[in-house]
Amino acid sequence: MTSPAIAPGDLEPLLAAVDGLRMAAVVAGLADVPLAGRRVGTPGGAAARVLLGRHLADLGATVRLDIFPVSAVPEVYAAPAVSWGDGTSGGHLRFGREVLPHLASADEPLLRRAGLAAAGQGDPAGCWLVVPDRMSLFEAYGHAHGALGLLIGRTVDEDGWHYTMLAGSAPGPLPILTVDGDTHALMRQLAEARSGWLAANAPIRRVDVRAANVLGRWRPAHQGRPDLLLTAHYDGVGDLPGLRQPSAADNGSGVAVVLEAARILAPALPDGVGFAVALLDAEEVGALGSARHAAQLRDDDAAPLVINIDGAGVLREAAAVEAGGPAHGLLAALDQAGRHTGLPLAAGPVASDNRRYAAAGLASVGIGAGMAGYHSPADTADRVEPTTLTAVARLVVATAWLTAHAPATLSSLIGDER
Amino acid sequence: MSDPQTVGGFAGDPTEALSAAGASGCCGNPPRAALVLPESTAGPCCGTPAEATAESSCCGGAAKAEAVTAGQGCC
Repeated sequence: MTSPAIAPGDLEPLLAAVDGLRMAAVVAGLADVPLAGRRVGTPGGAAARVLLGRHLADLGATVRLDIFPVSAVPEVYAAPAVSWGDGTSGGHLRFGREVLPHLASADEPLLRRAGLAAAGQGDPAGCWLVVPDRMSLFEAYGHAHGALGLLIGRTVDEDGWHYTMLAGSAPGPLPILTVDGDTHALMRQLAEARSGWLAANAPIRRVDVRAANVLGRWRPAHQGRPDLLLTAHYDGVGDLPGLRQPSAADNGSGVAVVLEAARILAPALPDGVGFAVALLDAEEVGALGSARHAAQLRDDDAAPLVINIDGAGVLREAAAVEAGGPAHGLLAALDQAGRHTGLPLAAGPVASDNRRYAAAGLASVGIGAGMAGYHSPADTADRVEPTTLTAVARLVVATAWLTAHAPATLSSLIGDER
Repeated sequence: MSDPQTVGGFAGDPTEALSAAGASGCCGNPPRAALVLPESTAGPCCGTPAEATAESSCCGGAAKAEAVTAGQGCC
């Protein structure tokens, strides 16, 4: 493959054009109230893809939606009402901070009041069963014959919130509530003494929904030329009843980076280099949007070089990079781009859509720069740093530019040295 | 042009990123095509298998949050 002559400095105007405030505005828009956290299959998710489709079209892309079904998405449809006590006193648990329906919970809309019992100690029939910290859920079921439900301790984040999870356990036979660690310890003491009570419901259900990837392409790749694909998931964990979960960093920030990189790269990449963007749905329920898109690419014998961004909110020491597939050339370009832009990189897990593309045999890298308020109400737009957005966008622009100009070249075209 | 003294890029071998994930993960399929990975630890992508088991989840919640906060994204 030949590489066109490159004038030193060609990249600099592109990097200088990266606009952190523009990206911050995109994040704020995606995190805004009407989009309601963008959980897959919700009106907020649909509104997000209208917004993003327009954005891509405004950048000159040919845009299409790829709609697909997703089954059994967890939905907490009401704030659980939970109170408990020791017979002489009691109190309510705060939804989101002290209690949350567990992902594996059966739906229990009605308030159930009963005594507390400790799993593995005595007869659990008719009781709420407090599960010790080191007991698995599977094991707890073995101690739960006749129990009303299970109470599991879970660590809250530094802001005092439970994490919302959408991917993982299938619903089981019993209502299950996760309780913050301190409350759980107190409950366990009462349960062991058989002196406590709890009244609660667990309003969580599974819904079948439609999801949609937003796909934008500027031009196809010519024979023998690289085809670049920038990806980020736009779905979030979604609001809970009475609790906003803006999903700003996860992954409004990644979407903002991809859009900004596309704005700069689309008119600047050399002729013959393919360029496309995929804004993916249903990542939070198991990376289903990228699984679908990766399969489509494989069926079409397409072999784009995939750069996926998941989390560009708060950069600390380095951005994490996970690569898969035949990504050596892409990694070399990424390394060179990191050196050129001054962004430290570290090999580390980025369990996101990049894995789906790698599993399809495509060269892919996932980049995560860190975030605050992960999967909680604290993932707000004001905690996404424009400097981090800028750093990651510059990395993506430089990586794409280097790949487009010298896809098989490992030595520096731009004079960087270690 | 760049400052040659910048500290960006990988501190070590960039290809270490090819084995960052292990062979299991809580999101997406394990990478398996055209990719040589180290032996699977059969563990979750964040935290220990014991933590994940205790929470009946694919990951240890606290470890996962720490990893994400530190920039090691986890679904």
